[in-house]
Amino acid sequence: MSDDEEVYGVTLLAPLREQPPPPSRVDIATAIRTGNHRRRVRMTLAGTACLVVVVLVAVGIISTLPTAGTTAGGSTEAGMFDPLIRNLDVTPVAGFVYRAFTAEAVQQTIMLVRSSATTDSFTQAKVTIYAVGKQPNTLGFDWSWPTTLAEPVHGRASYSFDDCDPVCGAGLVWQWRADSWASVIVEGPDNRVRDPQGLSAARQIAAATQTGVSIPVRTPMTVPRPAGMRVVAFSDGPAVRVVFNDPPGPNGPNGPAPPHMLQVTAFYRLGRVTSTTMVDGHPAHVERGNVTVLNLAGDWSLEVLDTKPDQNPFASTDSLVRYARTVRFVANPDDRSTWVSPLR
Amino acid sequence: VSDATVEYVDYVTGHLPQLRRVAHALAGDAHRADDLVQETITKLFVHWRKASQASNLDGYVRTMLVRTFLDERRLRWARVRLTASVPEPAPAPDHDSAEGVTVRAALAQLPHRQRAVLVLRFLADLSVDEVAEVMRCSPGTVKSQTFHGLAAMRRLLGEPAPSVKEL
Repeated sequence: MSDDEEVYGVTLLAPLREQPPPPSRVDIATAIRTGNHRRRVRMTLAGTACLVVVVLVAVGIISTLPTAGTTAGGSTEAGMFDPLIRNLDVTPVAGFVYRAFTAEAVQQTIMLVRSSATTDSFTQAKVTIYAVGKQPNTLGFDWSWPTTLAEPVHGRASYSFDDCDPVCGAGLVWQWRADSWASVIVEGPDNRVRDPQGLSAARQIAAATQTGVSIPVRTPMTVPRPAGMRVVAFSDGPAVRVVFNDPPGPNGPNGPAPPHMLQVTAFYRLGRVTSTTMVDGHPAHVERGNVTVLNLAGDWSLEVLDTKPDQNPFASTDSLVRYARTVRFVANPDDRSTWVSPLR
Repeated sequence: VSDATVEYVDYVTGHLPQLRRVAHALAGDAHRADDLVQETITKLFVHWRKASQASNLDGYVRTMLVRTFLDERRLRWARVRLTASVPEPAPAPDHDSAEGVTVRAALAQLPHRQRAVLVLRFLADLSVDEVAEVMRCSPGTVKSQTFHGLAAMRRLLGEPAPSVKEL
């Protein structure tokens, strides 16, 4: 790099160096509070991973888990979930409202929040079912592995917890099938404040959990499946997302991760995004591996994200834009009753 | 309050203006810059015991900031408003000079990594090798990104390209 270039760069950015920053929303106290929360989460997860193994071995569950071949509504031959089939539902529970559903091959989750929650609170409940043979060693956060035998859930053995070690929360785990686990976690209103109704709420949510369903997912848009790729995840909440992946390599799903994923997301009222160009008359942010078309259908924006744009057919932004143009929204995406199956 | 927390608060308080200046150049707008800094100092608190032992704490924190910025597009989910009733924050008052606004707008059009290289090189005053370490790439890549980033800035600002001889 030449000295001239160096001088040009420094001179160019000089106006950004000299001016005073605008008023700040940065809050050190919040950083400490959130940081403490994350520290506890990290400790809990690490402890949970160890305890899960110990507990499962102790009760002899691992030896009873079949390795493959079990099927149920919507599950695949290998006992995994089809991300486009919802096998989990929760009927309305007093005090909670639905927030989001996510599905992958190994687990499906419904997130609920307390009716009184604000966007700043951590108060939420999470219901998860795991695929065959997938022990819940990644269960949520803010809770300790349960060791207390509880009342059966849907006629199956369950364990509960309700404590503040290291943070406050309550929940249940049970076997939703003879060979698969489910969990409900209800967080406390604050990390250090126990919710006296937490376990009761967890029981209510567990009782309201339906695991025998097989419901095709619906989206406000249809997307073509890129050649050679398969759907590996789906989520429906503040945004609706379909995730494609390359097929597994010769070692199957346990082998190295496929080289790249393509995420197609419909965002409702997406936050600030700087537009860099126009796509079909809509402002858009286009950069390598990422095309975001703003307000493509009313308040709905579309994002197509490629995680490794160096190694696939979407290496150029042009090809990614071409793909984005093939995504079609329904006429009135605000009306969920008009949503459709995502693939076409 | 532990001694470590006091040290953390002292450090962050003293370095906040610098972090916010770099974050503002990276993010392009004040709100996202504050989000970046907030996330960075939160991560810093989580890792403070290790970070405070670093031989170059400023570099450690700067790397955290840039990695957070580069990872940010993968975290776009977090920017989605969760309910329709939550208002967008009002735009921050614009403190930029006309020249600053122009430069910031041009910078915002660069790809993330190119933008980060220019900001680290010419605003944070890091050497090529230091930028390479932060960006986890080779010095050659930093030089190449710098060249292409400056060329793009010239184009966007309507400035004539220097001759090959000049470079």
